[in-house]
Amino acid sequence: MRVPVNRILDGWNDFWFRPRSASTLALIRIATGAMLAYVHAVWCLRLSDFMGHHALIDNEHIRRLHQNDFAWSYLWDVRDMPTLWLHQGIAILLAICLCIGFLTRFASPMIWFMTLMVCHRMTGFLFGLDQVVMMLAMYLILAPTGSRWSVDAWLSRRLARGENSMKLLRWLFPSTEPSSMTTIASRLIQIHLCIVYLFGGIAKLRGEMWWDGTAMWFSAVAYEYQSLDLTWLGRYSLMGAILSHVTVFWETFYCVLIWQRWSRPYFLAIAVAVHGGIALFLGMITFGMMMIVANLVFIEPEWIDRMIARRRLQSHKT
Amino acid sequence: MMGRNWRVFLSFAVVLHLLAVAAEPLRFFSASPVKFASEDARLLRMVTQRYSDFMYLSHGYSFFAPNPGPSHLLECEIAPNSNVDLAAEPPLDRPAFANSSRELSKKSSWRVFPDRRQDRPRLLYHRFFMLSEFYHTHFAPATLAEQSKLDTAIVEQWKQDRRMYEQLQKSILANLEGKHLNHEISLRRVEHALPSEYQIFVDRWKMTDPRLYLVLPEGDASASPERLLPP
Repeated sequence: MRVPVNRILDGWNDFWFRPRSASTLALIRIATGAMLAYVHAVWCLRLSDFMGHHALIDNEHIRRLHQNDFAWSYLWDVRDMPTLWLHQGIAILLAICLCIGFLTRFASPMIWFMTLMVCHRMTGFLFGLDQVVMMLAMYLILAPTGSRWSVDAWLSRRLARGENSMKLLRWLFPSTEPSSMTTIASRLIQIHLCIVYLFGGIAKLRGEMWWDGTAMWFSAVAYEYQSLDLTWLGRYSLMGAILSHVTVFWETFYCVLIWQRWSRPYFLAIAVAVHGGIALFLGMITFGMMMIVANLVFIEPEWIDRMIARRRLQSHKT
Repeated sequence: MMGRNWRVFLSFAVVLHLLAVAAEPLRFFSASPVKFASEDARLLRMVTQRYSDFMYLSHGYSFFAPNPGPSHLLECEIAPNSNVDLAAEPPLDRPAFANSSRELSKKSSWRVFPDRRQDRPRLLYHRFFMLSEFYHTHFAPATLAEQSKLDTAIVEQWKQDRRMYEQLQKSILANLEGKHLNHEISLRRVEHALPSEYQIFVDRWKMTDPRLYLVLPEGDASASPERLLPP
């Protein structure tokens, strides 16, 4: 009995705590920071419509909408526009800091919290993009993502480092050494993504259009979503049916088959195709892009490191 | 690798966190017309709700599901009060789907949420699209059907929903009235139905064909919508 228990514990420890490089999460950090800056900038385009006392959904109504849940935001009490402009300005700056990896240890939790407050204020205007960006921003806090491709990494090389350097400095500018916290953050993103797809797939399985193969057509002709004409799909109903069924199969079984080495490349390729299609044809460029970014988490950091090393070698030779 | 105590603590933390992530979709999918959620899903949700609500984890994750459905727009008619100088009014800008079958005031201007021409970039457009869908989702009819009035639970729920809907309406109206002083503003929910392959390829309808737009009734929910143009 002891052997299986030990094996399970070893497997658990290996899965959650075996240190890994932060390369993959650093890529995700860059994309998430850029998207957060864009999201906050877009709120600013009609800030008085979105926030403040005279917003389309005013502070009082937001409070009422959340009276039966545990969401809370300090923005429910902010009425004057200059404060809101300042808030958004700081949020954009922090998002840029996250993107370029400047003081990432501070920028990461702060931009997550400010965006969380905005999300609780903007009920009624949110969609999948906010869910995925918040998910990534939350988990990025855990890992030393500023250790790669960042201003922090550059500063870290400039500052004298070593056993004698201050603990705070070592925490602020982490080394590129593999870390268990990176593994935990990566695993959480992976499992969270599996939960999203699993329930997305189950939801589709309840709809007859995903079974009779017309879902792709009816998604394509939702004019309010459409950004490029997809009505030609109706001339190829066999293709529409196959695409509908592949989407449901892929979404439902993602949580199992993404972990298998043999099926992972195919599932990632379908993820790029599905979300790329949503970005190009259904007008949700931001959402489609961020879902592709989230899928990057299944790419091993060692693979990314090897690719970069190979490129460097090639450029040295030439 | 980190120390044993840390590993034990973090193991519990990640398990609890992931339960919170799964709790809301589980509750959402176990709900039925007669039950808020199954008992186990309700219990899990109850335990994790404070955390998942605050952390913005309470989502159903049902994109384009169970079926892709019609879109809902919010049409705002902005009509000048009688004492306003019409010559100074903004030019008439009727929504693309407005047509002669409805009595549209020539003095009115229009704001439709979302508006492809006006709401750019695309993310801004999508924010307003979500608002119009949110407005539609929160709709509660002005009156209840006679049969429903017999059930006190339904009546109580309806009263609450109706109050929330009216307050949402008031909030949107206040915002628009602040921009259009001395104007009377009215809101309408418009449903944009999805065309069939036959309508597009055989009948040659465009996706913006006025026949696909329905003004949804504000009164009794069982009332039939007003079609903008008879088919």
